[in-house]
Amino acid sequence: MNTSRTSRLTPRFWVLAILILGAVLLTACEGGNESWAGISTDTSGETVVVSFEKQVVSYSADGSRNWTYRDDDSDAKFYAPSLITADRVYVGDYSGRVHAINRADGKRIWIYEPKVSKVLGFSLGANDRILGPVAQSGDSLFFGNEHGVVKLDISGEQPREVWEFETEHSIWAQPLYVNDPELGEPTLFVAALDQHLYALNPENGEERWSVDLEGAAVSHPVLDAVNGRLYIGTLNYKLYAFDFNDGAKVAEFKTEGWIWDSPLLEDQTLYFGDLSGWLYALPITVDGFGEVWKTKLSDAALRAAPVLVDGVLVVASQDEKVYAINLDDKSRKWEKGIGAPAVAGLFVLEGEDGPLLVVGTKDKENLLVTLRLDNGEKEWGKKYED
Amino acid sequence: MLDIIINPFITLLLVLYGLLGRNVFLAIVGFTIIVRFALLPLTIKQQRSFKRMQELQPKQRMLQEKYKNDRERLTQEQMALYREHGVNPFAGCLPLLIQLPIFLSLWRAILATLASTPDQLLELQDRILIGGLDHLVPLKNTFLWMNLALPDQFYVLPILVVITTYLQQKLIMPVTPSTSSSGNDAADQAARMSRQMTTFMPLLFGFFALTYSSGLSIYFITSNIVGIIQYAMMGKADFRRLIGKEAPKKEEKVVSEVVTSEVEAGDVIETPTKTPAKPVRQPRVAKEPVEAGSVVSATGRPLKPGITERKLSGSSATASSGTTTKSAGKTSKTPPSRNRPKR
Repeated sequence: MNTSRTSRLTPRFWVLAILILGAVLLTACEGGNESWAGISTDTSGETVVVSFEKQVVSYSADGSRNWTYRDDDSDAKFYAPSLITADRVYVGDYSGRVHAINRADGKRIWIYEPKVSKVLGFSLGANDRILGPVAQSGDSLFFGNEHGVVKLDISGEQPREVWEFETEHSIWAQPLYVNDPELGEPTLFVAALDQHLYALNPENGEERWSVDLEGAAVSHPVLDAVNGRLYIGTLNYKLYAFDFNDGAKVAEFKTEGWIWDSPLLEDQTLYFGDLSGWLYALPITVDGFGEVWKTKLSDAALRAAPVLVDGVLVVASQDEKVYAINLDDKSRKWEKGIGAPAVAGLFVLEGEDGPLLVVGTKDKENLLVTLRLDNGEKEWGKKYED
Repeated sequence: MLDIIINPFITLLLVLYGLLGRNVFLAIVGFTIIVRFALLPLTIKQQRSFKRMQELQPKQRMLQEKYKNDRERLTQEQMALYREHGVNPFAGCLPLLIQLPIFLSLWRAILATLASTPDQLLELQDRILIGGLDHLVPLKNTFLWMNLALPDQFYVLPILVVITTYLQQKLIMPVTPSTSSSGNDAADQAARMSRQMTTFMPLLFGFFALTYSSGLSIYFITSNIVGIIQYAMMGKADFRRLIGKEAPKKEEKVVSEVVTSEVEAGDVIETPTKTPAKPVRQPRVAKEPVEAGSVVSATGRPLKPGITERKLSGSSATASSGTTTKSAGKTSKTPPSRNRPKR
């Protein structure tokens, strides 16, 4: 039978074709990365660890790869920055597990599996993504997930959950553990997307106080031990100063855009950027905040906190540029394009010829870029290799 | 490109979230209802177009049978048929095409406001068009047992998505016979397509519900329910289809027109019904019997040059509805194509 092909293209065919096209588009819309790479450096500036998708990679300051960690058994995905200690690397994954890795060789020491309750064979609490870095104090680890904050006891061979404090929204910020007798009792501070800052007793997870931030907080508060205050930025155009002991609001500062990362506290001045491309230098005073210096660096977001090295303030922008500003006269020292949105963070390594700036991007081909502090020239870069 | 639509949607969703006690479930439901009702004129237009196309199906089938060996001619004849009845075969798809970016934007708006990933949250600041809504971001993503930013781990919502999508498909899709008794390939094709839609779409959306945020599942379910209500309000939803039956059809105007056009002056039509045969009213302009090869319109009038041209060849001029007709001096009996019993 020689039926015409044209005759088969009925309107229903076109409806089906359009719906399939729509479905494909929907899938495409949803596609892309879950997040940018989680990047962290050790305190001595010798090592940088990058968590992205299925692997965690450790590099030396010269760009050589130390090791690659994967958890092929569970198909784990990593986006949280890791915590680098003297002998271990701790990192959370997208399934709510915490991995303890040997810092020297990248071998697994243990994996913490979250408790999973089952009802009729279905797993409860399976969606425990960890997006923020883990914090450590002695034999205790603290981390946030989709439901709140968890304390682990890591003194034994295997980690053990001690308590969990529930919040009304996810925690993407690193918990801040403070143990300063001059300030008061040891306290764990947790900023949540539920628009609250919580002060918890780290022993039992009980709430000491909490404050309504009137906006989501994505990153942890910064401690000002001199004045006994905490500073935290929000997605509601405000940066707050709270009293350490009772959470009373000391001051607030209105910004031009949302504040994502924690401010940098240096010489009683807070340095931070916002998502509208403004850079601020906000002095701290006895009463609260002094007169601000601010400049519009870019139309794109300044997500990551700036770094201050040798009197140079460096800022990374989503406009694919890194800006270096002389702190003394606020003049532009240099600006360099890096070929990808610089949103994944900014860190400092100790290079052979001086400080190196490590910039993380959201581009797999330019996952990590290092620039020389003195002139902004590229030293080395890394792409994602699966 | 879709940002022109997505950003107002995000803003509207945030406004609703603020107004409805910061309940994300109610916000998504309200948001979906508003958008669905805003698109109601398009939905109505789409349904009307589908209905007109459906009415023309018997005639189309005849053309397909008649010109099954001449593709080019078939296309010409089909286009002529569409022109004659003022139907655009793609008019039903156009509203769907217009709706597609809107629904894509709706999807994206829900994902953006739930901001389940840092990437999504980072983009959100520039998407809010009204000041004073920032304190609502990101939406509180928990509702009952669910984290609405993540897939439902109990599979309750995906199952509901499949069921409601199936119901909606079943209610709006006409029942078509699984095989054509006359061996009509096009009818088979349409039937297959209809069945595929009813099977494929629920599974596809169920897959999306399993894979993506639960908030989207709530959108799907609400949208399907609103869709069913809308079709019911328009009188289009035939609940008998749920058990595989079609509501009794009225004799359609198009068919009677076709019959009239192919009857000669003075002929008597014998209908298979119990009503007594009546002489068919003579078309005013058809003073003389239509000759084979004459150009006529569907109403039997001679056509002006440049308008519809449809040649009636003696043996192929047929009538539907099981009538016995005489055409170009010959009597022919044709199998009823429209009143065929439904399976």
